[in-house]
Amino acid sequence: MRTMDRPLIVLAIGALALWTSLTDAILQYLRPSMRPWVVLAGAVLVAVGLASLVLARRAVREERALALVHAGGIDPVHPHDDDHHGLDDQVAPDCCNPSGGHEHGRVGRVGWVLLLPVIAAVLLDPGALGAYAVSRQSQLRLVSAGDFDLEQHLRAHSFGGQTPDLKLSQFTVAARNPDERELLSGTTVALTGFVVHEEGPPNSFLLARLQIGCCAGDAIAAIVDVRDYEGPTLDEETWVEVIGRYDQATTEVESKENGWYVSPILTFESLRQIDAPSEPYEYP
Amino acid sequence: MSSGGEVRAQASRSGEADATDATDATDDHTAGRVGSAEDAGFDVRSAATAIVWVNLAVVLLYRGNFGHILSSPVINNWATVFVSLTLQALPFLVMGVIVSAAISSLVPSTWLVRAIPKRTALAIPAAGVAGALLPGCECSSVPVAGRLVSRGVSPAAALTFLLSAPAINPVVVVATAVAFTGRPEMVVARFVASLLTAVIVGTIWSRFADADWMEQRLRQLVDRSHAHDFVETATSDFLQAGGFLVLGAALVATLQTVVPQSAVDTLGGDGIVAILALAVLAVVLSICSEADAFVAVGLTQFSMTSRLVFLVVGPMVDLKLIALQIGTFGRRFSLHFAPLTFVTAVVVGTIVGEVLL
Repeated sequence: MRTMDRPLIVLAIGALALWTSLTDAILQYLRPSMRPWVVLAGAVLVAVGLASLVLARRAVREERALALVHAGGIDPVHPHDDDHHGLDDQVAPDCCNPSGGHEHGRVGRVGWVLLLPVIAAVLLDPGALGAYAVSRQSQLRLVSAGDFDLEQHLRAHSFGGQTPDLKLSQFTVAARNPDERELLSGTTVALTGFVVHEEGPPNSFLLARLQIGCCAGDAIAAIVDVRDYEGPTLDEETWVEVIGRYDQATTEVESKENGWYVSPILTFESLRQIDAPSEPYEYP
Repeated sequence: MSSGGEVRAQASRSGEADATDATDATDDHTAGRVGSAEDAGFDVRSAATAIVWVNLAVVLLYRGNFGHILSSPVINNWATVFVSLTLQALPFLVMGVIVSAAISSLVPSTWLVRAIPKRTALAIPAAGVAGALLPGCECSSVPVAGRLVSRGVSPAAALTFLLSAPAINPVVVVATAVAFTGRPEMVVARFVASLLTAVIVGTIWSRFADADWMEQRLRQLVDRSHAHDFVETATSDFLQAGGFLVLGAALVATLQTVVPQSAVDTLGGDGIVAILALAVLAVVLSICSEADAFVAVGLTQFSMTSRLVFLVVGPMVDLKLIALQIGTFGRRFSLHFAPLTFVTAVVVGTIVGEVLL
């Protein structure tokens, strides 16, 4: 790897870290609490990259100067100034080969692949995980609700007849829990997620949202099966807020038929389309 | 460039030796010609890399034109997972590289050698417990361990540290406790099983490993000013370890995108099959040790013991980590170290799980 490329690669990845973390782009990849650490990492990388750039420039300049001395050394007019050679060549291996000499021999071309995430993030700008990730989820990997008290939440949020809203992960965890299930049954709730179409009964769609523990690499889907929807067909990945009631009876019947817990079934009441939230994922 | 420099150096050294020889002048002429040819090559190649950089800048600035052509759910899914794995590892990798560069350029090696017990039997458990001091994930511990070895710490002790740090440091312990609220025995079991695994692997390594299994691929020092060394070491360690980390992330993203996760669905349940299934899942998913507890808590169809094995194996053996280790210690090392660690972690995790959970 060449003298100037090393600092430039470090700068590029540092700039990526700063760019994503100082805009909301980072929320497509990581949980919000990681943001300050990525800012810090980006700042350190940019600082190290700049310092390294200064050193590399100095090295290149010294190298050029030395090359000039060598060019002088072969001047046929002065074929015998070998003393200069001796001195210069003792210095040369240390100061003039910062990219390729013994000291960096081990840092191979692998450093170049650090440009791949920069290219992938900026060129593709892939956005948050969506329906494709949901469709490939394992039935056995379930979201967790963290430290969440359903009873208290419902009491606090149904004040004055308002519809309590739940995270999709909270709703699906409660629907699997025998104690909380009863509490949830017959309660009208508001859930936010995006639309996923899979084979199912007519007038139904899946409402899904991904939960991440740390980054999009560990995403798990929370899925609710919305039934009795009679409006116009919704495009996949449309963000909606759905109000409906948990249908405990049907969920239990279908779970028995299938031999595993199916996604909890929600009887549709109303819906409104919303903009994709800036935080696309849920966090335990 | 280096080859040019060396050619020149050798040629003129021979010139020096023959200084009294009458043929010296012709020798010197040949050397001069070789040198200038190499210089021309350097210019062409640096022009080529300059073009790469300019193209990259142009492409990135005009990105709007490319996004549509390339966007498809599969590619987007791959890119999101790939970038997120890289970004998530970045703070920890940077921390590891900075600590490693600090050890390399600021801590005198005599100090390190004195600080660590002479007898391996003491050094290994001490290194295991010392792992609790590095609050990061596996991405920080690899460069730090690599640097410790290059500064004269015994490989077995450094490797024990490498294994224990990502699993028993306070950040991970707290994350595990939060994920498994109401089940503190899981936190204890994870701590105990991880520390035991690290110490056992370290001990086995100290008894049976060949010295030449482990290469030192991190850059060795040339003594210069501390600041200069620090920047140089940090840059090359970051490029070396980061490059391999990115390769690992690309592999994981590809697997996650191509192989549906429902492939595990047939395997759930109890017993040895569940344990092996989750051990393999931990290797393939390569989840950061600070987040894996949140994933484990959702694996409700699997036995508690198999979920413990998932938490013990994950921070010690996974694809991303194996890539990082290859970048730090070489291929021969990983060929021995990864299977040894995997088997030990599965066995210890299973036994501890049966006793404590």
